[in-house]
This record gives sequence, C-alpha cells and structure tokens, in this order.
Amino acid sequence: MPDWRSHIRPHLATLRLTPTRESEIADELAQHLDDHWHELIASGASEEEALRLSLAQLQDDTLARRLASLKQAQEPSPVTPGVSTGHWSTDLWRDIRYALRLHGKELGFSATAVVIMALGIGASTAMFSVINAVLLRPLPYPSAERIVTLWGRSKQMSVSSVSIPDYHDWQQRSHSFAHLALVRTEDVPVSVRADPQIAATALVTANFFKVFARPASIGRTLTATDDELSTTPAVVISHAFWRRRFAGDSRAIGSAMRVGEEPYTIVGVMPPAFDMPLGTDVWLAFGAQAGTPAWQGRGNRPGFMAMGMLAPGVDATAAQRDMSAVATQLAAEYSGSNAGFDVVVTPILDSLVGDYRRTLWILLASVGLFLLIACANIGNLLLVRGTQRQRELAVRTALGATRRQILRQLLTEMAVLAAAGVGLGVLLAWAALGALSTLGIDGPPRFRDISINLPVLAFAMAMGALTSLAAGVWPAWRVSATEPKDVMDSEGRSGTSRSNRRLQATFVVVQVAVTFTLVVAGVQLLRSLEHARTANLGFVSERLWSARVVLPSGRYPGPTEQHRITEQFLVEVQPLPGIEAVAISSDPPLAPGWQTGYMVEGQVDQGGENPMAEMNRVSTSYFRAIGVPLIHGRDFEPGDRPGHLRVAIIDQVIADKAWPGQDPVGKRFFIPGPNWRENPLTVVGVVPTLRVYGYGLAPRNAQIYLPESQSPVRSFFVVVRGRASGLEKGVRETARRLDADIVVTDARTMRDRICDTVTSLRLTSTISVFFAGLALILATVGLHTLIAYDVAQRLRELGVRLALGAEPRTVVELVLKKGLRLTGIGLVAGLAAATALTQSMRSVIVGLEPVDGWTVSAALLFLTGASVFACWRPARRASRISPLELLRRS
Amino acid sequence: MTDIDLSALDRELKKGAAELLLLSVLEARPRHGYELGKLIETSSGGRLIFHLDSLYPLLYRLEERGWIKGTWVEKAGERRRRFYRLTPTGHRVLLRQRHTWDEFVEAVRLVTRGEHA
Repeated sequence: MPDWRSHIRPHLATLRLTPTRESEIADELAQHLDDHWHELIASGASEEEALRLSLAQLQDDTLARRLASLKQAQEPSPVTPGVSTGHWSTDLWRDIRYALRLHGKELGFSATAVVIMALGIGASTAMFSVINAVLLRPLPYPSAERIVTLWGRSKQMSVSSVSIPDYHDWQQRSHSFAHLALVRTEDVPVSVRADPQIAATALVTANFFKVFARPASIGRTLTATDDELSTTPAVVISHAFWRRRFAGDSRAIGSAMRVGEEPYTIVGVMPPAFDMPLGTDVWLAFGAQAGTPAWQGRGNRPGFMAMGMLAPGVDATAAQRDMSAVATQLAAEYSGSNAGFDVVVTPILDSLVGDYRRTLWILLASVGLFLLIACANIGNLLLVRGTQRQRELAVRTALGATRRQILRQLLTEMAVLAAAGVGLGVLLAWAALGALSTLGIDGPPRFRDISINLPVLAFAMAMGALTSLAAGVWPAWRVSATEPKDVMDSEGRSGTSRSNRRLQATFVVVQVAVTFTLVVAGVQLLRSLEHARTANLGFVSERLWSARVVLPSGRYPGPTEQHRITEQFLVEVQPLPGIEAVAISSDPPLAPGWQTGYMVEGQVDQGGENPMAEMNRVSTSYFRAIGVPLIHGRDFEPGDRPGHLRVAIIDQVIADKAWPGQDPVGKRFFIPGPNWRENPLTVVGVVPTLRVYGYGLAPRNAQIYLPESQSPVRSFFVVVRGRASGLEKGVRETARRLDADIVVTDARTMRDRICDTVTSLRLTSTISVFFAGLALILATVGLHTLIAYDVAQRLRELGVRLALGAEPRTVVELVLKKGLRLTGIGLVAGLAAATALTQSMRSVIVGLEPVDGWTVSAALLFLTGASVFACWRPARRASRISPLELLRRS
Repeated sequence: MTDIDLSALDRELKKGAAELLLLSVLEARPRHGYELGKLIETSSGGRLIFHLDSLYPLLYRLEERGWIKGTWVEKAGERRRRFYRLTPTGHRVLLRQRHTWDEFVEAVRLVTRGEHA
C-alpha cells in the first residue's frame, strides 16, 4: 500500500495548521486515497495505474488554495521564544506576548504568584502610604523645615513650659529666629450666640502667624496691636470652626464671640489647611490675657511654649546652641527661678510626630520582612516551575536561543507577573487603608490624610521591580543554565539538580525564620496590649467613668461660689441610678496636668531645683470612688474648710523621701507661690503612688492631693464609679439643671482613657498581628509547595520502599521529618532575629514587654503546627502510592 | 410565489448547490468523506463528481460553520475514519436551502418551459 501521507504533507505545508490538525487532515485524506486505490484495484486496474489515478486528485495546488481560506489554517505563527529577531522592541513585545500566553496557560501558578506578590506589595505600599502621609509629606507652610518648637527642660521635668519674662528675654538675646511666638493652648467653653461648647483655643502672640507665613482666607490675622491689652480683643477662627459654628457665613467677621466669659471680636478666618497647633479652633490675641496676675513672674510657667521661624541660614542645631547659651545666662541671672533650666529646640515635624517616627519605621521594617517572605515564596514557585520547564528551555536552546535570551525571556515573564502583582497590590493597599481607618485607631498626627498618591504609586512600582529582581533573577539564572543534553539525558527521570533543591530549601528556611520573627513580635505585642489594658495602675479602673466639667467663670468668680456649686453638683449626681460613688478631681489618672515644686518645712527653697509633684485637688469621696485605700492617716473630711487647718494627702514616695522612717502625718510642707510662707500644708494621710500616666510609664513625679473645699477649681473631672450606660446623660442633665452654662465634655470610661495611652501599641499590634497571620499562611504555602514537589520528585523511590515492605507510616515520617527539619533550622535562625526585633521595638513602643518563654513557645507551637499541616497532605499522598500506578506512569 | 433575490440566487447557485448536496446526503445518517463522494456520484448517475480537493475543504468549512460535526471512529482491524453528522443548525440550514432550491427550480422551469407567445 502506498505511503499516502508523504504525498499529502507537501500540500499542507504552506498552511498554518496546528500540528494536531495537520496530522488529522493527513490521516483523513490518506484514508480517502486508500479507499479510492482499493476500489480501482478491485475494478481491475494495476497497482501502478491505481496509484497514478489516485494521486491525480492531488496534482496542482487546488487543495492548498481551498484549505487556505479556512480559519483552522490560520493559526498564529509559533513563537520560538528566546531567538532574537535582532530588534529589541520587537523582541520585547514578543517576549511579553509569549509570557502572557504562558501565564494564561498556567493560570494556577500565575495566579498564586500574583496573589502572593500582591500581598507583599500591597502591605508595604499601605505602610509606606502611612509613612509618606505622616513623616515624609512636608507641612503645608512655606519654609516648614525652618519652623521649630521651643520648650523648657529641667532636671525634674523633661518638658516644661515657658514663662512670659523668659520668652521676652529669648526674643531679645537669641540670634537664630526670624520670628519667635508664644503659644498657650487650652480647651475652654466658647459661646457663639449663647451656645457654650468646648473649643480648642490657642492664645498666641501676633507674630505666630508670621512664623507660619499664612494670611487669613477671610479678614485678617493678628497684628502687633493685638498683643496689647484691649477691651474687646481679637480672635481668628479656623476654617472648620467657621463652617461648624457659623455655617460658613462671611458675616462672622466682625461679630462677637465669648471665650470663657470674655467678649472677643472675630477678625479673620484661616484657610482650611492651616492647623497649628493641631486641632486649634480659635486663636486668641495675646493681649486679652497678657495681664493675668498668676502668669507674671519668671517662676510661673503656665503652659506656654514658643514656636519660631529660624532665620535664613540657621538650622535647628545652631538654634539649639544659641538658645542653650541664652538659658545659661538666664540661669545665672535668675537662679531662684531659672537654675537648671535649659531650652529644647525641636523641628516642628519632629515634635508633631514624636515617637511615631520610630514606630512607623519599625512597622515598615516588619512589612519589609513580610515582603521578604513573599519574595522567597515566589522564588520557590519559580524554581519549581523552572524545573518543570527545563525540557522546553532545552528545546529553545537547541533551536538557537542563547542563555542571555532565555534569561531575558524568563525575566520578562517575571516582569509580567510583577506588573499584575503591583496592580493588585495597590488595590489591596487601598482596601487595607480603608479598613484601617474604620478600626477607629487614633493614629499619629496627619494619620487621617493618608492616600494613595503619586509617591506611593512610585513606591509600589519600585517594590514590584525589587520583588521581581529578588525572587526572579536567581531562579532564572539557575534555570537558564540548563544544558539541552543533560535534559535529554534525563528523559523519563524527572529531576531537580542538587543545587536547585538546596536553593528551594533555603527559600523555605528564610520564610520560616522571618515568619517566626513576625509571629513572636505579633504575639508579644498582643500580650503587652492585654497587659496594658488590664494592668494594675494603683486604682480600680473597672466601671470607672469620668467627664470634664467647666464652670462659667462669670457666675462663679471666687472659691466660695465655685465650691458651693461643685458641692451641689455632687449632691445631685450621687442619687442618679447606677452610681456607687462620685467625686471630683482636678487632675485624675490619665489626665494629669498640674505639676509644681514643693518644699518640706525646714528645708531651703531651691527655686527650680525644688522636688516636683503631680498636684490633684479632689473632693472628699475621691479615694473611695477610684478604689484607692489609705495607707495611713485619714481621708479628707467635710470639716476641711477654708479658714481651717490647710491639709494635704501625700503618696508613699513623698512620705519615704521627705520623712524617711518617720510618721509623715502632722508634718508640714509648702507649695511656693504668693505668700507661701504663711500657708503651710499639713499631711493628714498617705496613699499609694498611682500610675497616673498609664501603663508602661512610671509616674514622673510624686503625688500630692489637696481638698477641693480648701482650693476649689473651676474646671475639673467628675469621676463616677457605676454602670456606664446612662451615666453621661444623667450627669449632663444634672449639670444643665444647675446652670445651663456649665459645660460637660470629654466623657469616657477609664478603660478608654487607658487604651489611649497605648495607641502606638494598639496600632503596631493590630498591624503586626495581621502581617504575622499572613506570613504564617504564606510560609505554610511555601513549605507545602516544596514538600509536595519533593514528594512528586521522589515518588519512584518512595514507591520502591513501599513495594519492598516499608510501612506507610514510615513514609509519612520520612516526609514529615524533611519538612520539620527545614522548619527547625528556620526557627533557630528566627529566634535570634525575633529577640533582636522585639528588643529594638521595646525602646520605641511604650508598654512592650521583653520576649519571654511563653511567647516563644506560643510562636513555636504556631509554626510547628503550620508546618505539620503543610507537610501532611504530601506525606499522606506519598504513603498511598501504589507500585502498580508508578509502573504505569513510567 | 415568493420573490427570489437574484444576487442571492447567483450566490446560491455557485456555492449552495455543493453545500446542499453534502447536507442532503448526511441527513439520513453520519457518513465518512469517501462514502459521501461516492454516494453523490452514484445517486447522480455519475453526473456529479466530488474530487478530494473540493470535497474536504468544503467539509471542513461546513464544520467550522457548525453545520456538521466530524468524529473519529475506530474499528478493530481498520484505520480510524472520520464520520460527519448533521448538527441541529445544519439541519435547519438544510431545510432552508432545500426550500430555496425548490423555489429556484420552479422559477427556472416557469421561465424555460412557459408559454412566451
């Protein structure tokens, strides 16, 4: 029988058929010719004649022409990847198209790689967008890098405010500033059309607006005349306040407003971006309060700070030197008030961002670690796939592709993956930031302005490039080194070279180590946060609630009126349902504020060197309300009235320091101030020291309590123990019934206030735990990929073992052992890294505890569990290989 | 009588006749290529002959259009053969083409045999 195919194929050669289709058509036509030939033979033709007649049907090119118009004859021409066309853009485009087609065919692999990369890039992009918004973005003021804040500092206080006389001397004696302004912030009731609401005010000297070089958007800012005393001093309001309280009405300019009890005239509205000090609603002219008697004198530092614009050519370091010299002069001239006082000059962004700077960089570092895991994971996937593609690459090499061309093709494939990863990653980052903002964590300043903008996109792309380089180059290099001969030789024996296998194992070890680090950090942060929430601060924080109360000053000008209304307020609040105890305190835990020096009777007044104490004026039932037992002596009593013995309760620290080994009750001390010598305070009781700044922060100073009845206050916190629901409403209604102008604000549970002190701990723990979880998943996937691949490679060996009588259990153990060995190496490496990471985090995050055995054991358990989980399926598969099946496969 | 669009008629004449022939012989049951050609040849008394180079391109075209479907059938001791059967679409097309053809033949008959005096 003739070989019909050899006659048919030349007619199909010009068509662009797929090889399969071409062979089908050849088969079909051969069958036709064969039938025809047999028929001719049957009808008596000789074989030769039958052949000639049959082949006559294929004489010219009619068949090819007719077939050419069919769709199946127009398959795209096959690419021989890696072989250069000699034109780089054509080559690139071809490589990209080939890569796309390849990824489309191996959707499972490509999707996994893209998702892993997107997780890594998304996480780091989200973190970077936070850093960009908070740390990197310049403040919206001209020459913002030259704006600085100035605080005092003494041995007792790392941050102290500034006195008015000192400020004037700073202005005259320093040479570093173009402008130096004085600022004092205070939350006070502000009435617009007789509707008092607490507003954030800043009393500022007129040159404050010169420091920030921003004009008002409507009206004017303050001028030098506003620094003088005036009957209706000027105020400038923020854009937000203007919208909120005046509904954006331009007639607000020139209208009156009461701040506290004093009338002011609005002269300007600032632009929306002007927000300094952060959150300020109203800027008050300094002249309005410049004459306040208690603020005069160099020893009085009533909460002022200074803000300055450095002179051109002066940097913060030079200004610091200049100001330290001025402080030294002043300390020498006024030793009574200024001895030991220095000035701290801080660039404004640093003072705004504070500790968050290092916290955020640490978070970025942990996200970087996460990205490393993603890279290792993708690297592993690429190696596994590269091994599977060795034959294809060998064929390409045989067809004339050089190693460089193959490498370029592999990297293009990686770049296509990276592009998809970046795209998806940016979407993930966008979603993550949205989720973060709904968590309601009060982050660092400017935290709310986070957005995905150009710098962030550029970062995402850079990360994409970095990831593809880190994950793609080494595997591509290894895979491109394939020698066609080796691959052909290994026909039927699928295999990975020893060095590739070692590289895969390294990738897994890196993943385990880094994941362990992240899990340790995450667990540690969570535990620390839990400690912070439940720690013993010296008082009972459960069911404790407090709110700030501000009395209108006009109606209650003196101590007698203030005490009377306060007492009445307490009497009316007490019977409200759910209340067990109620008291007032000027500076309760988590809202301390007033510190002052004190002097034990018989000791010499050392001015600024006097020991400091946190002062707190409280009502009689205060200690009972916050659950603090008296150690010694008595509580305040209703009999502690003005005109009687002036009494005080001190904490254990003062008792031990001032009167060591003696009974402090009955001893006397002084608070320096006007006529202080005539007003000694007598100790009547001793209480434990409270951690008034919250968990992780030791009290900065000793604590002194004065009875509210002997030194009444106009602004205080009402502290209530009881059921929180309905408390706020009851307290507010009581206040309104007593006087509609009493403002109740900042009402919260003590738990909430405690949580606020550990904001950065909450932020870092939320983010870290999230990443630790993701890392755990990725590492599990990575280990699974490796072990599953390894099992697939060793099927024959394992099958032989089973056939020779090995127990399936032994095979399971064999596979598990390999996985756990890699995990073990990773864990050892990770332990060192984890210790180092948490150590560096401890210096930054308040309340973070050192790593202990518990945390390490928990993390070990997590990772070992995850790796057993990762190896289990491949191990089971290995133990169930049937030797018969293996034979069939080979 | 239905109007026949003359340009459509022209097209049908050139290509449709061959298509109609193939579809018609596949109506009864699936057949392979050689059998198809043979059947048309014998049924037409040797007047209509499909050569290999016109038969198969047409079969593949009809298959691409979804009117017929080819399936490989293997029988013990024989080489595999590709059998074509009519798809539901092909069946509808056949009915339509048959109708058009009948109309055409009728029209031609009327013109060529009719009385013109």
